Amino acid sequence: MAKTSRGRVIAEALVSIVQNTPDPAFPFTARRARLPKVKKDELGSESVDVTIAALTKAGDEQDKGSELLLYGISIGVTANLKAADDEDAEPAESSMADAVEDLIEQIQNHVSDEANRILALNVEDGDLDFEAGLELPFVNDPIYNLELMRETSIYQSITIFTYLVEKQRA
Amino acid sequence: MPAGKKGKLYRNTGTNAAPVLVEIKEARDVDFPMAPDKIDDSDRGSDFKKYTEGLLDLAINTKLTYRNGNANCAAIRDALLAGTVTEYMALDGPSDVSGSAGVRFFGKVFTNNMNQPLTDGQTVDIEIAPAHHEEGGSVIEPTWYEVP
Repeated sequence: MAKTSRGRVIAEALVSIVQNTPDPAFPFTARRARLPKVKKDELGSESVDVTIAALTKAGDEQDKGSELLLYGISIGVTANLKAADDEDAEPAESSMADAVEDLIEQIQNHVSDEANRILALNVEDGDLDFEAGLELPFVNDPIYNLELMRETSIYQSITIFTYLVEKQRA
Repeated sequence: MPAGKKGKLYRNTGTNAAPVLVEIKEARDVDFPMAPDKIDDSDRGSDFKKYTEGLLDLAINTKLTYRNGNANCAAIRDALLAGTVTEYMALDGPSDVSGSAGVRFFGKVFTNNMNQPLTDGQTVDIEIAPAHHEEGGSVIEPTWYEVP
């Protein structure tokens, strides 16, 4: 029986995929973590944090010999808009806010690109070897957290990507 | 009442006398309708319609999870293409548990419809119906089989 969390393995695999988003509209660092950075002192000098975590899991019978596991992987983008060097616009309407929105769109396009839809995964000790397939559509609702934006000028957007894993029964 | 997922579907790669059963784990819902023709036997002797049974229609219907190179998917597809007769069993439990019961018959594959929906996995719809088969000079009829 597998000893390693498949959800965490999927999230860790997505870190390198997300970090390799071509020509990002804003520099960022992707990491696998259970908690996003949402406070200005957490974000620090890196104004955009991309946190990837497996947040949901569901199992379903596929056939008499296997099950389908559905993992909801959250890719959260958090930006401190007050770090923007734009005195002419309020943070919510700054060029940094536009760039972060563009970055989110780029990450979504890159993760859902056909070349990245099937993840071949294994764990070093060999106890887990599986494929995870992206099931479209992904969900980005709401596009950003309105209250967080209003209260703190933090732009936070969460996109949920669902990955299917086929688990064979012994 | 045993759950449907406890039922087992097998194909026999051996003989009726010495079966070598391969479980078809790729099967999803399995149905095996059994219904004779309903022949009207009515006459003036009764105000009620009367019937008698005609020939018994039997089949195994299921949907398989399709996998490229999978032995069961390939064997069933090849059986359809070649018109091969194979023995199948649809039991309410494992074939190695005494008391497991279900239909057992030699049949041909009459449907192997492949499905490739845009937003779901690939599957194959299967229908198997009885066919003539002899072994040791005797015709092997479909039967309700119970594991001894």
